[in-house]
Amino acid sequence: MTATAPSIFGFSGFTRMSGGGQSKTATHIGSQLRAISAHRDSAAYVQLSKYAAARKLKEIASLCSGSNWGGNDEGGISVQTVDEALTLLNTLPQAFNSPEITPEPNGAMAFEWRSKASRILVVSVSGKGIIEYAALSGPNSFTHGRSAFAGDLPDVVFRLLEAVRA
Amino acid sequence: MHDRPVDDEEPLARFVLDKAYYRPSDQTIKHNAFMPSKTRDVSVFRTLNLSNDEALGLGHEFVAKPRQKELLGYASLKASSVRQVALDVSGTELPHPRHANIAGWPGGTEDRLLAIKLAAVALLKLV
Repeated sequence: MTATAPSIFGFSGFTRMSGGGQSKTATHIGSQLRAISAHRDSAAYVQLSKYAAARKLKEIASLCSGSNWGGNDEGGISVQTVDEALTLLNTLPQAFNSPEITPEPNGAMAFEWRSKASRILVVSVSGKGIIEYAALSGPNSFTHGRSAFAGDLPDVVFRLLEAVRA
Repeated sequence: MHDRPVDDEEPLARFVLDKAYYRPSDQTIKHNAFMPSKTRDVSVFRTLNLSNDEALGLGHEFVAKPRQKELLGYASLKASSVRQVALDVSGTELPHPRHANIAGWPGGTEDRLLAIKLAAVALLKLV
């Protein structure tokens, strides 16, 4: 089943981007983000952050849509994975910073948060209605697992997000 | 010399061919660089007694060139770091006497956790 792309980003589904260079739109977004950086908690800032993250996600997906994108027999990022990642991005609470977005060699798309206290949370989707997560907060403090994902952020992931922010 | 087991103190290089595997902002390696391939291992090279340039030359000749990709750098970590997370590393001789594989991946979501741990202790060296 393919998740519906979130309307918050102003587009529907996966769109292949033309390669190369920073677009005027991206430059504009960056300018807007800087202009309101003093108001990081504002709804406008969150909206722009998510929009920028969605653009980044689509850019990565475009670069990694084919197999072997990194020269190591990687799996390509599928349309279903991109749609699910966009849905996940839209479910993230406003209080949390936008994640770092990373393609994984198994064709999944990962979101990562890192705190100053060296806490790390990686949440990954691959278009199959499942979220996988792994969190590290010290040499002997970690967790990992998976949870069903149908458009609502699983409680376990929300708690891990709160922990990495603490 | 590389027929013998990999010593704990031996440095290992995970060569990087794509920008998606590291953060240019702080020059750190990402966890995805250490996630196992479809063959369930992570290819590395043993760089004991090699200079940085010699290690890069190894990566260029035996990793980047066969894949027709540009070598961007490598993440370096000790064999002991691999074993500390209950993975193993062993020499394979091919495609080069200095080649080795990080193996013993448990599978499932634990693979990602172990990859995060390896990335957290690896040092990125860009070209």
